[in-house]
Amino acid sequence: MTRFLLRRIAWLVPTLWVVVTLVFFLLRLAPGGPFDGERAVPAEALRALEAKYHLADPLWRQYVDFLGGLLHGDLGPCFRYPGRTVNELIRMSLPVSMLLGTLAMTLALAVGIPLGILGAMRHNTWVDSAAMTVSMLGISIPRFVLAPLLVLFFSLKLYWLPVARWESWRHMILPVVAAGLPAAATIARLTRAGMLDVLKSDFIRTAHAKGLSERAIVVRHALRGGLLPVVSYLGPGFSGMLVGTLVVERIFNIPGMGRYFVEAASNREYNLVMGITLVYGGLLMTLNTLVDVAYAWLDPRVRLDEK
Amino acid sequence: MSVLPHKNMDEPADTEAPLGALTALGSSLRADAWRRLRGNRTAVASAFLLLLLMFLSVVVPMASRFRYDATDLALGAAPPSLAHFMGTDALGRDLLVRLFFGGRISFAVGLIATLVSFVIGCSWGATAGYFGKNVDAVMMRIVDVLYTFPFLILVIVLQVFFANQGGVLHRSFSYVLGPLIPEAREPSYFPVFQIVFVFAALGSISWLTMARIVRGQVLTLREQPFVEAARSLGVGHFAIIFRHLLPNALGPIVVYTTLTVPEIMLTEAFLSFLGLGTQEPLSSWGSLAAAGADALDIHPWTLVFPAAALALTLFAFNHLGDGLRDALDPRTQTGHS
Repeated sequence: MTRFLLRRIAWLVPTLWVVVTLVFFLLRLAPGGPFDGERAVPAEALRALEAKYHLADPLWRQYVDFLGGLLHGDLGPCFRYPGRTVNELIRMSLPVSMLLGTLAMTLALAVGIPLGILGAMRHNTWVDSAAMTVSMLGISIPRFVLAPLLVLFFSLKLYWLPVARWESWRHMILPVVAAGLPAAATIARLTRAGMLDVLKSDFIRTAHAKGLSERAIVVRHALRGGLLPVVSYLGPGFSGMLVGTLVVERIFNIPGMGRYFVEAASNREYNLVMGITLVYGGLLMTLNTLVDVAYAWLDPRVRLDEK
Repeated sequence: MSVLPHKNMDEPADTEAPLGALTALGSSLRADAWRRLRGNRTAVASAFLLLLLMFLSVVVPMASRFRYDATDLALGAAPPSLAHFMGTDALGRDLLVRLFFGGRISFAVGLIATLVSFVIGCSWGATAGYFGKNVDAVMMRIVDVLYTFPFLILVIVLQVFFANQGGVLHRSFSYVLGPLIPEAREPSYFPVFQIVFVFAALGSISWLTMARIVRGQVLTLREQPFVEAARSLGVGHFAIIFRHLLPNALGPIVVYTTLTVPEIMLTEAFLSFLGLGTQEPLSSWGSLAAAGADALDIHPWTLVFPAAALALTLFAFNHLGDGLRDALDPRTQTGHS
């Protein structure tokens, strides 16, 4: 286990470095610059700006400077928000995105797993088909359609919840639901499939034969194996959730990282794009490692230290 | 070499042992699968629905008296009526025509990108699985590393930076297509270029899982006598992989391919929502639904129809994939990592 973790951490750094390098050069080589706006900046001012942000330096120089800053944990200044650094922006927006993503993922698990178990236990009854139809719908409706529908119904018709923003817990309900439900649908289907697989195995029959209650069988015996597909989904699921928060933050006007990212990419905000890519990449890789560990813990057949 | 057994990751939906398998002793696998698929009413209905939608997407824009980009500013956004069955959008464009015109793009994006991922994923996975040892270790390590890339973010970056008018890619695109299609040099052809870019980008990010599935299949297949027989007859590596191994692994491949299409269509819709996918005046279901979502409270029909078309299609593809899995692939349950 320790060796596995150390190896994964050792992989993390070069992988992130490859990602960062790739994005760095893609950004700089792409046409357009951070100061191409609606109004042309006077040549004099442009030169001054470029000198200030070292954009006129040769590319390798900028790259070395960037990596140097990175080693000190300094991601550089923002171009569009004068006086702000990328570090500050990320420090402000990352907690918001993390909270949204975590709540949504929790909701997805809390709804999806029971729904899937229910489907598996009432296999081939109307309960099962109802649960699976609902979850199939959940998979087929994009978040950017679900979110406005929720707003229309709960905010504009019923006046129960606020339309947008991110201030109190009441502001969080709709965004979390919009981000979480599609994932809940996928999780429900995976749980059902996994549980059906496990419920057919011999040790479950043994448990039945020894007279255990249905509840004890599911909770104590079947769940551990039945949840394996869900655990392996979590890796891709987290990156899906990342995309989901991107959409939801935009619709609900939430000051999270996803909103800044799309803006930054369109505005050629080199440093901000780099910073957010780095944070997202690191986050995904860490979560993936945790998923692998969880998988090994749940499934004794998996050995992490192998080879 | 990779850490997870990939078995379950590749199964986004439910699996059931087909009861019909017991009676299949006398018939070929393929005939048997076909019979089971036809017996699955949901899957058959889904297939027909998809064919119908594709047919309409081809025919409706040709047959209608409206053009997808013909505006009628005096009319503006009008609710469904006899002249416009699905109403019109804010610029007075007929939604029915725009919807099915968008269907062409949505289907094309889904199918072409899936084809790209199919080709790359199959070749990559089969090569890794067939040669095994170090080749396998290196190739699958690359897949593992790519898996942790924040890929959608790279797509967005690529979209924003390269799919711009007059950019390097755009210029080379018009240069290549220029001699064939004179319009390709026009600036108005730029949106088409962007869509082509979406195809390529989406295809190139979705082959990873396919590669893992194919590798798993090939790993078990290559130990079988028929491969040994082929090898002893002097058949080359290339022919063994593409003529003998891949056709035998077709079941899971077909299933996963079917399930890739809706995933890609959803991603295209997401990109269009961010303003990075299909651009005006062209339309796709994603871009129409995104535009409709903005005006949901004023003219709801501009959201309802495209969203319904998109959801129905995804619904149908997912059900078809499930049906194919049940019919073709009784082995998925036993695992193959």
